[in-house]
Amino acid sequence: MSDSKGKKAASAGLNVVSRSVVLGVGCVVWLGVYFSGLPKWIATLVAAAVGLVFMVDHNMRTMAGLTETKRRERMRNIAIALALGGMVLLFYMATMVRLGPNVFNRSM
Amino acid sequence: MAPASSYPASPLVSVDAEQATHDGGDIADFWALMKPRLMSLSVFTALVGLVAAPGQIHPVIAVIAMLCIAVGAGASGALNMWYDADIDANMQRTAARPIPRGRVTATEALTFGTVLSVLSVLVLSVTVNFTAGALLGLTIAFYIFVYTMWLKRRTPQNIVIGGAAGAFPPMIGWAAVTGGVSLDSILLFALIFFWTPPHFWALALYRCRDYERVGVPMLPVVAGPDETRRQILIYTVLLVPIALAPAFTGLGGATYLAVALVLNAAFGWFAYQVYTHREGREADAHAKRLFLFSLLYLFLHFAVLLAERVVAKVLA
Repeated sequence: MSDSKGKKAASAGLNVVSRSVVLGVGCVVWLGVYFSGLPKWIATLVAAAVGLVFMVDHNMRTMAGLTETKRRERMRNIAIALALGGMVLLFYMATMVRLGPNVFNRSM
Repeated sequence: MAPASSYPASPLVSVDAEQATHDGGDIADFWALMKPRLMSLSVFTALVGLVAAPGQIHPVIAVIAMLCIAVGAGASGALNMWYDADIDANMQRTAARPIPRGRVTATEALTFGTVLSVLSVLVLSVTVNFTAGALLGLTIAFYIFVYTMWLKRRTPQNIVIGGAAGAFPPMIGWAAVTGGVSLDSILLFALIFFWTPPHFWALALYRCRDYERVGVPMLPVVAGPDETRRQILIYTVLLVPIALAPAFTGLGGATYLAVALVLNAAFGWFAYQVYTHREGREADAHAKRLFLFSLLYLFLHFAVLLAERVVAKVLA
């Protein structure tokens, strides 16, 4: 039983090559965006996207070994985390729209 | 039938006993708690209110407004399921909901609904405008306190007055753009408000036994099917001029008028069929037909308004 769970855990999620590709491409895009003339928030988004991929991947690999109750609990926790993250993003975007990017340029 | 008011006033079902055997619902259960179909109707009508309103709104703010309306509608659905958990378990249509199935406890539903209600109202007030936030708060409060807790188990007029809660979303969408309420947004409200009784009474006509069993005084249970058929016809007569009115206030154009004329003629015909066919399976079939057509009726009215505005904005 535990063997089959272990096999499931090993087969779930991305393999080493895929993880390396995601990380490599993410770094290249991040560097490209950061040192080009594009707005810096795009680089933040790229970093967040790569982080999200790794978080989901980690979750998929560990999820396979959990009991049904724990799996549901984990999914609820992830949903709450994503909702909170979404709210942060939402307030950030609303602030940008309402006050404009100059909100960062005010003297302290 | 037991008098409706003597029916236990909900859901303080043995929550501790519930939790003792409960191992937690998954995301799908919480999603079901938000009544996604009802939520989609609220979102759609709110979107039409938002697009049809005069003035400009930043796309990001518009998305936030729609999100808040969706979450607010879902939250009121969850609170409704919390309060109605006792009767839901005894009705065929609602027995598979997450609380009666034991997937989510009443306390979880209450917490979930309350947190989402407060968040949606606050976020809408802070990021969009106070009027829209206040209207969303009023909608949720009206649905829970006025409809669910007060009217639903006490009077056959429950869905007539309670229907206001479902009619608010286009006004909220409108207020998100303009910051206020106008005749046109009241017309959108009235269209849903007067559509609700024939829509729900058509359903209640062929689901009568369900409501009777749990003591909800729907009109067919209290006044009988014949009176319900008469009321459906009366509300249909009231609905027609309201549905046509947007074409004359400038809210809808020629396409709206043409579509509304056809839809209202058909609605009147279906309502008349329900009125004249009173016995047996044929009567149920006509009630079911009116119920299904009423869904299409409301959707098409709003869809045409939306299409007209989108086309006008694209061509401008």
